[in-house]
Amino acid sequence: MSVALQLELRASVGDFQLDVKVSVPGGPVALIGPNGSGKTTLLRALAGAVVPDAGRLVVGERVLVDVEAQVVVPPEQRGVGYLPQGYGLFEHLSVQDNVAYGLYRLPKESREDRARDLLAALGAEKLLNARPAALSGGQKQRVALARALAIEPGLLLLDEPTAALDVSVRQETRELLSDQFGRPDRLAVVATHDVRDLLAWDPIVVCLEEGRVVAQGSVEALRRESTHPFLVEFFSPLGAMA
Amino acid sequence: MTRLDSRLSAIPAWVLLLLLALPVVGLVFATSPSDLAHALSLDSTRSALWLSMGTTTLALFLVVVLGTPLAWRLSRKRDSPSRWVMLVVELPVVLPPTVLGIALLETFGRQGLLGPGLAAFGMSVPFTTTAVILAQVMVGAPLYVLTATAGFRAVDDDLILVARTLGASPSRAFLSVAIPAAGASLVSGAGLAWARALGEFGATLMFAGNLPGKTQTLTLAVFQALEQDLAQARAIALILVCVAVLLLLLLRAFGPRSSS
Repeated sequence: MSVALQLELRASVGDFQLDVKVSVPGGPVALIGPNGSGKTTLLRALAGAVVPDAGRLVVGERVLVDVEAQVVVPPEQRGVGYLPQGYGLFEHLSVQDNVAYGLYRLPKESREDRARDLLAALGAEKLLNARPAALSGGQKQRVALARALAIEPGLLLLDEPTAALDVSVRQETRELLSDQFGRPDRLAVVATHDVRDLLAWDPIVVCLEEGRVVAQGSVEALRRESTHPFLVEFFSPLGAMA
Repeated sequence: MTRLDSRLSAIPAWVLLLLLALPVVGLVFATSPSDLAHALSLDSTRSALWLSMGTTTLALFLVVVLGTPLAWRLSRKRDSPSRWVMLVVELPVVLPPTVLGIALLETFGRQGLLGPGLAAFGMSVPFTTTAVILAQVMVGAPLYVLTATAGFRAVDDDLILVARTLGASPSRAFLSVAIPAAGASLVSGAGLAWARALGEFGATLMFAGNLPGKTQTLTLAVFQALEQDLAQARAIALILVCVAVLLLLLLRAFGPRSSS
């Protein structure tokens, strides 16, 4: 089991209201829900982009948000690795400089070595000098993951990491991510639309609807017990696979 | 689109192109090399040229340094105060330059809003080179801020958030991610602002006067030469065209490449 998460947050983003309460002893945690249910907003709130109106966020022993105590740790001090849906690669930088971006406090040589090692570990060492615009979706995914892992994040946030990938690289990416999710010093929170992601990662599933948690539990428990229309629909491909 | 459709739609395009190009071609043909050489040999022309280049460069520096943070803030906020700020930024674009000239006089003039305060420190702005720069900032800044704001709005929020999660402070994320991502728009906006400042006439004439060597820019030199020697006015105008074309070529060299 990895790092625990205690989350109780209320926040307004434009007209959207996020009001979630989640407590899990460890990850990975998968966020599911219909479009517009607040998965991305919750990930951005965990990363520190959304200033909450009320609540607490504790990852492991570390309090990242406690509105009552006026604690809101800024994104740069949270130790968060964030992979947005579009990968968020910096187009003006090479792959190597993208991966080394968060290592700016290290000497240049150490930065380059670390970037090279991370890319090699993810099977992307040949991309070192390429520009992001020249990469395929799967390659971008690896580079963005290497960049997020470079800072040794305690909290890894991924928004639909397999959604934009070709079928051929989807399973490979799932396995790649599965290795990262297993780390005992790290909590991974992943938003997904794909039930096969859940089968690969066996996460604690949190189902959101209109900014609120409507169900939470293991894949198996939710599949068997939930009568919520979205969950019934979401898990229906499993019936077909069986 | 059929070949006939294509030819028909080309007609208005050619009419407009001719309308834009013919006056410049006319100016080139009307100006003899000897007139050009004579104009360039005059101290007044050379000083107007250097004054134009110097003041527009300084004005551009001020516009970029002050306008970039403003554009960034405007791009990230869509609240009611920001809409009012945008209105203030857009206003100089729609106001006639003469109105801007009067407004600047009423602000920095001896009897103006800030005039007595400046006079207390022994400073007077109207009819100085500083006045020329202020007028150029006033007309150039809106074009830069509007273009830069549009460029920054196209920068994905997630890019900034990723940079922040990787340890970048807000200012480092802005400088190392937002500025390069909006680079093409910033260069394009700077070019527009520079070109507008170079061509500024009305506000400068009213606020800074037309003093050779001190406030007489190239556009004012053309205006003065028109009353004395048409050939010289044509030659100075052609010099202005050459500077503008050079500016456009520089923009072509830097702008599109950074956007691709």
